[in-house]
Amino acid sequence: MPDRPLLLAAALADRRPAPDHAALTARALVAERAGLDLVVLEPGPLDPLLVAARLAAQTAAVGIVPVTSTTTTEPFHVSTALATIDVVARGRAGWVLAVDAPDDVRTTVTWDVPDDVPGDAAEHLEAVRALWDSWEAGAVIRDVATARFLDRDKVHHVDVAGRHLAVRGPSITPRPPQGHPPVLVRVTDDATLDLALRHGDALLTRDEAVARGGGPAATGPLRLLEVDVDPTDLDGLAARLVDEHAAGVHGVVLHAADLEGTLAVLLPALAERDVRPTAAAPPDPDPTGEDPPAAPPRSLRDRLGLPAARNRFEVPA
Amino acid sequence: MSAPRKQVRLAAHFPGVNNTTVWGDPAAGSHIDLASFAHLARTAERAMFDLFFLAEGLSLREHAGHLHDLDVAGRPDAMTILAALSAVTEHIGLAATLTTTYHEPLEVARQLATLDHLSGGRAAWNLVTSTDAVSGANFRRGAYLPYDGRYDRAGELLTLADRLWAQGPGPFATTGRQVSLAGEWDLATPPQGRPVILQAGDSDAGREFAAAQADAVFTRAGTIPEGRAFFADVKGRLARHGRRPEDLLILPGATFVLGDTDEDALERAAHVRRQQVSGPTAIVFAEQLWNRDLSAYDPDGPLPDVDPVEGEITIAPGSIPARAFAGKRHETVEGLRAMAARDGLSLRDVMVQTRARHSFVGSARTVADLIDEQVQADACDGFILVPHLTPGGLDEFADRVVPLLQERGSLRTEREPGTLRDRLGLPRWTPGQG
Repeated sequence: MPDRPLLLAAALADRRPAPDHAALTARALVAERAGLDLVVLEPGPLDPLLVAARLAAQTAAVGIVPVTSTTTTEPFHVSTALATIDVVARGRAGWVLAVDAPDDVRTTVTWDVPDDVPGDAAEHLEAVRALWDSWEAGAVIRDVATARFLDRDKVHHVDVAGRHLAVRGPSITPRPPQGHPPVLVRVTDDATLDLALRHGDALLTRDEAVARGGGPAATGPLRLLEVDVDPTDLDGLAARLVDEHAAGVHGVVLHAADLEGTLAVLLPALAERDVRPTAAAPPDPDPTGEDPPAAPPRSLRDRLGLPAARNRFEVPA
Repeated sequence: MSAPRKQVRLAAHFPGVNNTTVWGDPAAGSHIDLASFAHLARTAERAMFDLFFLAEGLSLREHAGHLHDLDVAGRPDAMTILAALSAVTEHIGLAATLTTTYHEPLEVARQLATLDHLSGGRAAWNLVTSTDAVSGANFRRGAYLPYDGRYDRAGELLTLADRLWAQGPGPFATTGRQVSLAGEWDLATPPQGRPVILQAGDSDAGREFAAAQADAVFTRAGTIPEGRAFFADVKGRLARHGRRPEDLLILPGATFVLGDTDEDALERAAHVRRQQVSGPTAIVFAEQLWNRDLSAYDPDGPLPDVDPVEGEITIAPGSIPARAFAGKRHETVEGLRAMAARDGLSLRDVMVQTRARHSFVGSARTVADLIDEQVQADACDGFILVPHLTPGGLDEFADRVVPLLQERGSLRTEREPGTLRDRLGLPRWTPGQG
């Protein structure tokens, strides 16, 4: 039996033209109260980054992880949006990086989408991370004696120059609370698997062999298996997750229509088999946003067992 | 029965990344944390403001070849923080500035519609265009857009967004000089039909764009005669676009300093103005005007004795004040020299006098009078107020000025039902209009 508990996530989606965002919030709170590690905000008619920001203000413990494509976005905007969500969530943000098929999106943006979308994604992610590093932790000094707000030696141009994109930096948003919010790569083929293995903190896959750590995935990022929940066989699901955990899967992303009903069966079964302990009740969210508790919540990096993020611009003491 | 009194429209501008924002005061807090944004937005909401307003900058400011380090720098992403604020406010409009130059058309349309859905019809967009190559270096296409193309892209982007918001789910295709896109739109028409659109920019092209397309204009504050002239000009353009004068609101940006008495307010303003213009900031201001290195001069000494340099802007490229002085640097410097000689002022004193003015200074009663007078005189429809402190810079205004405006019937005491657009008295937008 692996010694680390099974990570548990819920995918939240509403692809109807007029999504019920209150219901999305309700499901995120179900996940939070059940002690889940994170919720994944799926793409849909509503922009997942904005839905994530709202959920970040409505929750107090669970990781908030929107899915955003690199193919149709500017790394600068994605970097500042994720940093902002991490600020609102006080260190609970993450990112599911997805890659589009170029022919599906070529006519939806005003730049030329390259055929090499995995290469574009790698450069995009590099730019996002470089921008997160562009402000060192102590960059804001507010030194009244010298009239300086900023220590400009601690804010850096990033000068990312790839084959597909270039970003000068620095970011307009200071370094997020986690330094680097965790980057989870959604694996859909060999190219995205390669991207995940090289650059991801975690991967999401529907391929059990990959999720168990077969082949090149044996060492490298955390492996989370995406599972569609069959509500008529929750006992079977529990048994399967116990087996997958034993086989080396680090975590599971549940795609469930009835999240509450699913967790009511699943969580006791996983606790009983020592796959995942019962979670303590989380604190209530701050309804005003003005008065957060003094102590920040447990960071998503910590929940995932990731080490503190290093800053490429910081000289080791 | 007399006509109902004209209502004052109020917006709260989150303190910006410039010297107006005082960061060194003991009361100055975080410019990043949600708590600061929530406090200011909720204070404005409690005080019956219509809008909470965020600016945008897509690069850090630079001066003399370095990042500018004297002012507040860094901010969250505007749309993202507004989405978070939609969870902790109920009524106030949430306005983000987004440049059409460096945001993608479909992303702008989706994000604004998303915010409108999340907030129950409270989204607003301050539409601006960019020329700034420093920002361009942060984006995929670089500084791709020639000056003349800016409004082409802005117009085409807004036309497409209007169409998508109005049509709801279904296929779309558009071909323009700057924006040619096609695909499948998947989101229902937002609660307001169209988010409230503000336009900033006082040029003739900007005024015409506003008259044709915008719901409100964010402009500079001035005297009552200046305001009346601008008001008459812009509102006079509306009929040509089939619109009524009340279909476009004119909202100047304004600063304020309150005191227990007018004398007390003047004293406080003098203190704030010196906080806003430190010695090093005075040198930077002088360098923007002189267009040359003045770092060897003492801000507490006389004005620099060298001549300003016309021509290419070398020390503060990208700086709006540096550009604004072009062609009149010598006469401006002569004017300042005369002022300094007459009043015995140092370089810093001169910059405090000329670069740190406040729109409204006085007791709560005086400030309420000044605001109401401008609105009732049709110099504007209200103000976008810019406090100098984060997060408490609006508290005193909410507690002391707002009740006086309410007392005289110029500001609502209860919130009307409906969306932001409804509350502002703006018509539902018909695509193709304008």
